[in-house]
Amino acid sequence: MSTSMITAVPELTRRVRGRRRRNLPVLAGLLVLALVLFAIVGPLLIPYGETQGSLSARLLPPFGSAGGHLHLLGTDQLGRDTLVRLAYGARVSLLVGVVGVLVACVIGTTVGLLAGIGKRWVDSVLMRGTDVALSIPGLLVAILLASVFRPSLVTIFVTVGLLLWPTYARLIRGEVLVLRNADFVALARVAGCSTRTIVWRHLLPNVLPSMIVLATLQIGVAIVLEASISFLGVGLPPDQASWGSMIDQGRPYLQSAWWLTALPGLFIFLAVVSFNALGDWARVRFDPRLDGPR
Amino acid sequence: MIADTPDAHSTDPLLVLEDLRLSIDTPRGKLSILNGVSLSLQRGRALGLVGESGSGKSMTTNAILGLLPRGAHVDSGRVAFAGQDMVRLDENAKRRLRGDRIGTILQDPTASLNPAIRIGAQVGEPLRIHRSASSAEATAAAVELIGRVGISDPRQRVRQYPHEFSGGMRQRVVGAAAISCSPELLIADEPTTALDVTVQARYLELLADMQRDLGAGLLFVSHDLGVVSRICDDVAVMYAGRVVEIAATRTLFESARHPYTMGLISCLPSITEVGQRLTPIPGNPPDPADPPPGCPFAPRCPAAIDRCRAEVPALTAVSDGHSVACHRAGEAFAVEHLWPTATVDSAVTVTGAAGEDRVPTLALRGVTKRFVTKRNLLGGVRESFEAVRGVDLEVYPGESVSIVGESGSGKTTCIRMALGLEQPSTGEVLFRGDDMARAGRATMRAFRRGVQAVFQDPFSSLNPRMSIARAVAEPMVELSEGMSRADITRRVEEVLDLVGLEPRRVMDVFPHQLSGGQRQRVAIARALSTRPDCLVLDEPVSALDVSIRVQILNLLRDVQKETGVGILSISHDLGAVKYMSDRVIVMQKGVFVEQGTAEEIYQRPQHAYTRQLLADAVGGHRIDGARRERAVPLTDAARPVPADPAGG
Repeated sequence: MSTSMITAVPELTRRVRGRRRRNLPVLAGLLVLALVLFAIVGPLLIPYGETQGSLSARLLPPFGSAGGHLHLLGTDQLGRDTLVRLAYGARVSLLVGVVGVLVACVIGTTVGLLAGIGKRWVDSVLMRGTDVALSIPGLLVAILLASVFRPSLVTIFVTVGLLLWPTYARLIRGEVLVLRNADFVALARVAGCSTRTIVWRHLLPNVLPSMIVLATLQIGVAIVLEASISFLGVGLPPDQASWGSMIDQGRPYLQSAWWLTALPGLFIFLAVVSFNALGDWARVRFDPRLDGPR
Repeated sequence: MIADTPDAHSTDPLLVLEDLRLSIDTPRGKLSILNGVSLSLQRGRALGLVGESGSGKSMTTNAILGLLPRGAHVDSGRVAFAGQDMVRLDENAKRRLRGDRIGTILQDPTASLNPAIRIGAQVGEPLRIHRSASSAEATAAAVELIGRVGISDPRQRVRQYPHEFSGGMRQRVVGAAAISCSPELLIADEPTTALDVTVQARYLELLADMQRDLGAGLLFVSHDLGVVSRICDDVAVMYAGRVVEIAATRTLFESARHPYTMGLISCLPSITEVGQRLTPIPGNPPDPADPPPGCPFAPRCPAAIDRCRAEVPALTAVSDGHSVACHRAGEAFAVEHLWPTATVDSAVTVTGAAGEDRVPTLALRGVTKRFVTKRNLLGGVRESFEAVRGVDLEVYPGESVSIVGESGSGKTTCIRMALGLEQPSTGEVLFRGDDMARAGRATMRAFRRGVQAVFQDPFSSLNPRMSIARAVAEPMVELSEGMSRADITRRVEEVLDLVGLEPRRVMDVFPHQLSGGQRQRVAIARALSTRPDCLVLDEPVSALDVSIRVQILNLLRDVQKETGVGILSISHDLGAVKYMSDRVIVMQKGVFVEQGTAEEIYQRPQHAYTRQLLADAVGGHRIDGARRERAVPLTDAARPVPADPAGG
């Protein structure tokens, strides 16, 4: 009652911060768009192939040229053009980031919801299952999956999804446990809503903000995860570029050819930062509590 | 100059606030929260600070303690505690005062204690900080202090943790910590709001005793004029960041001058009077972002003249110790003139005389509810607790029945079973004679259409992500087949109109944009949308401000009269219950100990527990300024802590 004045303050400061950063989501959106464009048209515009290299042009620094061919961002130890590999790598990394997280999100949210609304034993079974999933070393799973299935993009999506879902399950379950005791959920029952309606209409929309935040944070994790999977040789073949594998392959040359690791690192950084900013914006944008005057 | 006034001879006042102005920075600009608050408090006196939410009373205590939330700052004015200016004092100096010379008791005893630290350590903490007491000394002092606040067996109790104490006991512990350093000023911010009626009465006595023993000044902040009047010498009424009236308690009740104070007094539901319709103060408090140009109360004031709308009235003395901020304070209106009370046209006629052939809309038959409190390894029941034990209850069409009881009495479990949210362990819940446990789909839907609910907390009872129109329409969408979209929209507009909201203005709005009172109206509109035969109300007004409470109580009465809906409500507020019920049931520890017509219960209570409830409630309502009349000797309020797995 009388504390409403005080509790209103963090909400207000949150709105101040939101306003000050109004340009940030636009910038982030443009950046993501640019990365996607780069992934789609980059390989078409750059006159080099993904795996085409010549040993005479190996480890050229940015703006270096060999045999009359200019390599804007230099070449790697096999003489392959870094720029074109970054573009091909963007295809893989962005896809793995988005699709892998989507898979994790769907699995994790389903498990979390079921555990949160289900009976005590359902909750126990699902949560112990989640604990088990968390305790299995991720790379072991990756190796296992890759040895059973042919290494491909789909295998990577599934692997990333299988490794990342437990976090969702735990988060969503916690939120649902709180929400299901809210008066509006009991009143929805009184209003004749079925459990399914309650989940779709009353629970999911209210866990959405946390879901979005976690998803944007995990896109970065997924991109890096793909790199380690590929490094183990159970992901994509080494000649197929992804930002993660590029960093990996450039590692031995860290002191002599910085661009091999720094540039894909920069791209991962930009992608993660922009997705996070976009996610933050989306969370605020789709929360009716945080817009408009009171 | 010989001391002809008592004040001239006494020392400086303990606490003085002079024209305190405070604002908060927000993206919408600066919001003025306090607009010139002036108060003074002498040692040994108790000053009540009364106001509704948003009136600035809590911010005033924050300013006194030097604990302002982020973004808030004092613009001008002075807060002098024992001659020191709290606004300009540095943080270290303020820290040395807090807990030592200023003791504080806050509203929520659960949040005031650290659940991971033993009671003794928490009570002794101020001594360790301010008096450099050793651990052993602090513990010894804690034992003594806990005994002093009326907790038995203090030696054992200091070693326990907060969860082993009931709410009232916890608040006693908070009090013990607050007085550990013998403070000169005791600040209590809504200390009894979270407590039950009987516990509240005991706590007020304790507070008065502590203050008298210490000879300290007491600043008692509350939204409840009745509670304040019980232990305070003077009362300051706040509205929209200003003190609008300040007077000795008796003077305030007998000859209030400010229309707002008069309105508040006439809003207090009485448990002794009958047949009077309470007069609500219309409208809502002003938005601090958009204050009216003149007197902040002018838009709601029945006596406002042009001058009130243009010019802010200053707080001026009308007699010794009585100041009022009203342009028309000199005219001395009668309360009845400003806030006329109508006699109730013996509202609902279908009293529960239970005609034998009539079928009750809703009935509980021999209902018991058992909750499992401990399970063994295999999930078998090791310990259980009966929240409700063999109760029988009927609600006939058009009748209003209330269950009164304290928290843990099982009343919430009762209505949750009546709503089908909880299944009885034994016994049956009948809707128009049909057992709901064996109901088919069609009967179940009829039951849902016929029995709708309104809950206590308007902030939790609406989905924050659903517009008002969708929220109100939901029961119809789910339950009323054959209603077209247009039918539903028309009905939404109809019920919103019925509860006094303007459909056009609220339909597309989200809950957070409405005030608590408006949300509660929405919740009522939603419950009425399917034209139910019975409304189940869980403390429908207890979370609302005093002036809004009466609006909602009147609304419920009007709705009942207009639609003939039956009402089953639970409450701990005996005044509100009396005001809206034909039949009252008193519940204690899971059983109905007494039931009868409202008049029987209030005039001729039979059961000891009912008498106790009524005795303790008197102070919470309209009284004649009689102070500190002790009905019951100060005793240990230790009651068994009922296990309450249902969550209250």
